[in-house]
Amino acid sequence: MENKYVKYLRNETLPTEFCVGCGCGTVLNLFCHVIDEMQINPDDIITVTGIGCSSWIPSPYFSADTLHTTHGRAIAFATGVKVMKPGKHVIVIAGDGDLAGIGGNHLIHAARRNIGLTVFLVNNYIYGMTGGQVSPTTPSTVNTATTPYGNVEQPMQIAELVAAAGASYVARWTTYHVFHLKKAMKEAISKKGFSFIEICSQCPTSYGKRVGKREGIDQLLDFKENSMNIQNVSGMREDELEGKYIVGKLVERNRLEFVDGLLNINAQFAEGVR
Amino acid sequence: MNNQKYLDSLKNKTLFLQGDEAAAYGALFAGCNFFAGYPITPASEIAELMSRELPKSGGYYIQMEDEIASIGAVIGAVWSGGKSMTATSGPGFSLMQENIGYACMTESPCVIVDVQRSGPSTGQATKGAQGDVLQARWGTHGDHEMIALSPWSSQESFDLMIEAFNLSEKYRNPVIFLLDGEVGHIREKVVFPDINELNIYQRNISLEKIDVFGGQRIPPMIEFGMGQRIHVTGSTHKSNGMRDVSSMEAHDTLIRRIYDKISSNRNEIAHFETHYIDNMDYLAVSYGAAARPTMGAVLKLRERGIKIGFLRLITIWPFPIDICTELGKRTKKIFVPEMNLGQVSREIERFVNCPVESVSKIGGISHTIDEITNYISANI
Amino acid sequence: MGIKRKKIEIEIDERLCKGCDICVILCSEKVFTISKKINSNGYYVPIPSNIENCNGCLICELICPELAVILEKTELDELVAL
Repeated sequence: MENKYVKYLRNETLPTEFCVGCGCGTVLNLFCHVIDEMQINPDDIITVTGIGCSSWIPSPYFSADTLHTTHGRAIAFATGVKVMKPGKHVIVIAGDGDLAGIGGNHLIHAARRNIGLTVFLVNNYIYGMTGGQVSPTTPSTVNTATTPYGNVEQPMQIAELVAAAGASYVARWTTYHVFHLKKAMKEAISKKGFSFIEICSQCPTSYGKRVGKREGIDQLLDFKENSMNIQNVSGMREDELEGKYIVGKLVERNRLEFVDGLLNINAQFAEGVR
Repeated sequence: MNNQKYLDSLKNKTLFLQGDEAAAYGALFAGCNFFAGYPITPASEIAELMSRELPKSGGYYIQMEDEIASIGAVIGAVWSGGKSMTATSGPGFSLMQENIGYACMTESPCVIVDVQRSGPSTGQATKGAQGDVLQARWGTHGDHEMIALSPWSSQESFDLMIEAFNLSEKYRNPVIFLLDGEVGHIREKVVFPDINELNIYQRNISLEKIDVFGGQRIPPMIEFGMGQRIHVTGSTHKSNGMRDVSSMEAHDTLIRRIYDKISSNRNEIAHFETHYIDNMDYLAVSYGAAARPTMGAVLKLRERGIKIGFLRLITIWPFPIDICTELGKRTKKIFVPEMNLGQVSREIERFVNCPVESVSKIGGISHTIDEITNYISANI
Repeated sequence: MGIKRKKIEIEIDERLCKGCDICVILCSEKVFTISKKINSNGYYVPIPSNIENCNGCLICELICPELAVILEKTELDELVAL
C-alpha cells in the first residue's frame, strides 16, 4: 500500500536520498498535503530551487515544472518566471545557505519588490550537503567543520529581515509544528505578494551531531521544548531568548504586488491612455 | 499595444541612433519581450530604452539588484515563454559568467549584450575597448561553445541583434553581443525595416512530451506551464532533464552534444565581410570599433599602391576558422588592429602559417587611420 | 445523541521507510513499537502494534520525512454515546 500523497512525487526518484530523520522530507510531505488540500493542480505550479539538500525537495522529488538553478539564485530566476507566468504558483524552496547566505541580496530585494513568489526557506543552521560548514544561521559558539574553535559570528534572523524588507507575509515554524506549518504554508501560497516561511529544520548528519543531537528526533524534541510563540516574547531580554525558537506569524499585510504593477503600466498602453 | 502594432508603428522609420539604442530596437524587432538588467556605463542606454519601449509592445522591463540576478531572471523568463535579454559591460559581464554557463548547460536561448569598456576591474568606465573577446568565449567554467557577434555601426547593431536572437533560438545557446563603448555611443542613421519582411526564427516548441535535453542534436523546447512537468537543471542531466551526476557517459554525451551543435555549424554561423581579397599581398583583419579606422587605412594603403585586403569579422565565436585559413594561404602577413593586447590576433595565429601581427591600442581612444596606415607601411 | 465511531488503520510503506523512529517517539499514545527485525533495505521499520490507542491526530503521517506512514480513518455506522 502507498501513501496517497506519493502521487505528487516523481515516483522513480523514491525513496528519497535524504539522510535518515532529515527535516527536508517532512517539508516535502507537508507540501504535498497542502497542495492536495488546496486542490491545486501541480501543472499550475512552477518550483524554483537552488543548490543544497533542501533544494532537492522540488528537484527532483515534487512533480511539477522545476527550475533547478545555480547556488543562491533561485529567487532571481523565479522573478523572471513569475513575470512571464503571473497566473502560476511560483514556489521557491531552498536552504539557509542558499537563500540567506550566497543569495541574501536577492531575498531582500524580492521582498522589497513584493513579487508574488512563495518562498519556503528550510533553515537547518548549517551547510549540510558540503559536510557541515558554518552558515549564516549557525548559532554562536557552535563548532562546525569551518569553525573548529567555535562560531564567533551572530546568526542572522532571516524571518525578521524579510519582514523588515517589506514582504506581504512572513512566518517562522519548525518541522515539529506540522499542523501550524501546514496552515502557514496554505496562507503563504494564497497570499498575494511576496510570502515567506522560515522553516527551522533538523539536520542530524551535519548539524545535530555537532550539538549533541545525533538523531533527527533529538532536534525535533528541542524544537518542541524550546519554541515560543512570537506573541509571548515581547519584553523578553535577548539572553532569555537564547536557544529559543520564536515561532508564529510575523507579518501579514497588503501591498501592491510587483507584476501587477508592471501589468498596470502595460495596460495604460493597451488602452491607448498614453 | 501589442507587439505587432508597436512594430508597425516603427515601420520604415529613419532615426539617428546610438549603437546601444539601435541594438535595443533590434531586440524589439526580433520579438524580445523581457529585459532584466542593472545600470552600467557604457550600456545603460540599452536598459533605458527598453524600460521606455517594452511596456508599449507588451513586454516587461525589470531592473534587478545586480547582474547575477539579471541573467538569472532572463533565463527564468526564457523557460516561461519569454524572448529575453540583458545588457551590461565588463564588470557586470564578469558577474554573469556562472549563469551564462547555466544557460549553455540548460540550452536556454537568450542574448547578453556586453558593451565593452577598458578593463580589467573598473578600468576606464567611460572608455571603449575590445578586451572581453576571450572572456566572451571562455568566461564561464567547463567545456562549452559560444556564439558571439560584434557590429561596427549603429545600423549593423540593429540588424545583427535580430540575427543574435535568431541564432540563440536556432541553436538553443546564449549569444553574446559584443558591442564596445565606441560603437555603443556613436550616433548614426538607422533605417528600420518592415517587420513583416524580416526573417524571425520562431522558437521550436514541442506540444508533445519529448526529451528536451537530448535525443537529437538540437532538441525542441517545452516551456513551463504546458503541463509537461519538465525538469531543468544546471547539473549534468539525462536527455529527459533528470539529474545524473555520477555517470561518465551522461556527462560525455551531454557536453559533446552542446559543443558540437555549435562547432559543427561554424560556417553557417560565421558572418564576415571581405574587401580586395582577390588582389592582395597583405591582409588586415579587424572587427567592431577597430574595423572602422582599419577600413580607412586599407583604402589609404591601396591608394599608395600597397596591395592589402581586408577581412572584417562579424561573428567572433565560433571563430571563422575556414576563411582565415584560406586567406592566410594567399598573404605574406596579417595585421590585426584591435583595442586590446592581441586577443583575436592570437586566435588567427592558430589557423594560419603566415606571420600575424597585432596592431594593439588600449587606453580608450580608437586607432586613427594614420596610426594603422603608418604601422602597416613600416612593417610590411 | 452520539458521534460516529471511527476505525483507524495504519500501515508503514516498507519501500520508503528509513526507520528514523520519529513517529515512534512523537506519538503521544505510544501506538508504534520499534521492530526487532531488519528489513530488506536495512532498516528497522516501526510496527503500529497498539493501534487501538490511536486518536487519529495524524502527526505520524504529517511528520514522516519519507511519506511512509499511511493512516486511514473510516467512519463506522455505529454511534458512540457521548
